[in-house]
Amino acid sequence: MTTQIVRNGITIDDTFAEAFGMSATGLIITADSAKWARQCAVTMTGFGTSVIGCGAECGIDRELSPDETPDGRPGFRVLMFGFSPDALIPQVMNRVGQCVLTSPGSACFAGVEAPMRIGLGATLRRFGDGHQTARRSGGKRYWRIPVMDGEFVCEHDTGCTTEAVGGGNLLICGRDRPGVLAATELAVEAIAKVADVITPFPGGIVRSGSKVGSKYDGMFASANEAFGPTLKGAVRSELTADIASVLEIVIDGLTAKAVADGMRAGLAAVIAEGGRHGATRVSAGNYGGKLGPHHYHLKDLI
Amino acid sequence: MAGIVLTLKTQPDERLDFSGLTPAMVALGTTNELSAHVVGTTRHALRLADLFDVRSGGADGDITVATKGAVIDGIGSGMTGGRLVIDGDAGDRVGAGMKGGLIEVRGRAGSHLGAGMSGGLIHVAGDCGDSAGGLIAGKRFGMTGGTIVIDGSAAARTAEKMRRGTIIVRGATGAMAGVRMLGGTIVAEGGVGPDAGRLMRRGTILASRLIAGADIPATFADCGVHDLVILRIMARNWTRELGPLAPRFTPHVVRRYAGDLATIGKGELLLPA
Repeated sequence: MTTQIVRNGITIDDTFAEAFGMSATGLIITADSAKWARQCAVTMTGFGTSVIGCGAECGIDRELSPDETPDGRPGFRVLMFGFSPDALIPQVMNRVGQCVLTSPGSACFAGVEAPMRIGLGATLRRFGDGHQTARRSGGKRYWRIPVMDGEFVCEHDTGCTTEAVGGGNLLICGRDRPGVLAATELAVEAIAKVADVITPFPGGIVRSGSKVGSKYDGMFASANEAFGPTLKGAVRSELTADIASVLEIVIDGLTAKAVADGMRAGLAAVIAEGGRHGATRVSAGNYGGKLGPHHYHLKDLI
Repeated sequence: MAGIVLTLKTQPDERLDFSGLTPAMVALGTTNELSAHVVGTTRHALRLADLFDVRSGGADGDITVATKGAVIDGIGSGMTGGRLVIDGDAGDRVGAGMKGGLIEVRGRAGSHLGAGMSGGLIHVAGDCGDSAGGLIAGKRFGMTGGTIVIDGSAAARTAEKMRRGTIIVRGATGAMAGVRMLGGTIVAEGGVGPDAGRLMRRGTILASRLIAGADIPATFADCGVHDLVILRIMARNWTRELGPLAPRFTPHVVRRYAGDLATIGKGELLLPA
């Protein structure tokens, strides 16, 4: 058991989240209404929780007002994280091709500016089967691809950064499942206000925190029994007797600072309001510090 | 170093040619070299100082030319940067082949305004002649980049074989605007004349109306009324880049005519819905 700090009745473990360098890209998705821009963004970021099984970690960074989008319509900025730029290329093509191109009234633009580029319209233009046209405006190139409700306008490419960080995390522990969920939701809402970060799991929350490896061949990750409350009497547990539920928030960001800011915001929310819902403790997941180069010590984020 | 002001002191009895007299040349040369620059177009080989009072003035690096009725061709042709102000009317080929910088014409401009230009901005307060943004003889393409804003009207063959860039005409364009166009955009706020877009392959002509006597060419297909997202994008970018010079006619719901179907037909003539 690690040493602890207590703030507002919440125990903060003296431990750290261990995060990894990643590649990331971003898109701005617009539509005729915020409802359909959101629908499109939600669909294209679906099944994007973990690079282990999904190929990319995806999420909505934030909603954009019409003043902030290239076409003056409501929009959302989504971020995608992968092991490498090459790993992101098929993810971008498939997700934009199947979820954005198909969505009523949508348009798609670069959401990250960086010298390294990943094709958007550069590839998807072929859907136009020769009827697509290019248009240069404002120093950028856009493709106009005919679709059944008019034109799908798609920027030629988007930026890709290799300075991103994935795997920042918080483990929120408490007395019961509903209370821990409520406290964790508050933390996710706080993190959502931080720029350049996403929380890629369902609703920003993961309940199946994992350890590396397994007793079974071919499993890269398996149950983290040290944080499994139903096992706490049977295994070498990290949990005290009063803890009956643990939820994790995984945070990916375009920069190391963005991840730190996200963790800081989430931690502050749990400290401020979590106790009211039954949260009692915050910890973080790591691998002993030997795998990931980014270490976020909780005591530095309070 | 201040800018240079050239004021006509003797009315010439021949056309003058200011080709090569750019802000870059002025920055590199001495006043004596500038004064000795040949601007005459006859065997008399008139030099700049023979006709103009050359003095320092204006903002750093600027050239101001007070034309006072002289017919001066090629002002700012080949310009790569800086600012050139023409205080009065200009002759032909203003900014032809221009690559960058800003040219302000406070009067009218002649033919081939910005012909073959690839970058920069030209603003003309009055009307201009034929082939604005069009072809320089012997070249493959017309304008390939940059922006021309004409507060008055443009004569015939505006943007002939234009490939990229934007031409904004507050008035109307004459006959055959966008003829053989390969890309880029013409905004005709006062309307387009006859045969607009003849043989265009790609590009956009956005016009407020067809002026009297003009019609949609028979080789353009009516594709109906559409809310085009690309027009919203272009309008926002124009506002950001051009400020008060941006087009005032920027609808996004338009009737789209695709053409010229006598070629590949990937261009368009857009008119109000």
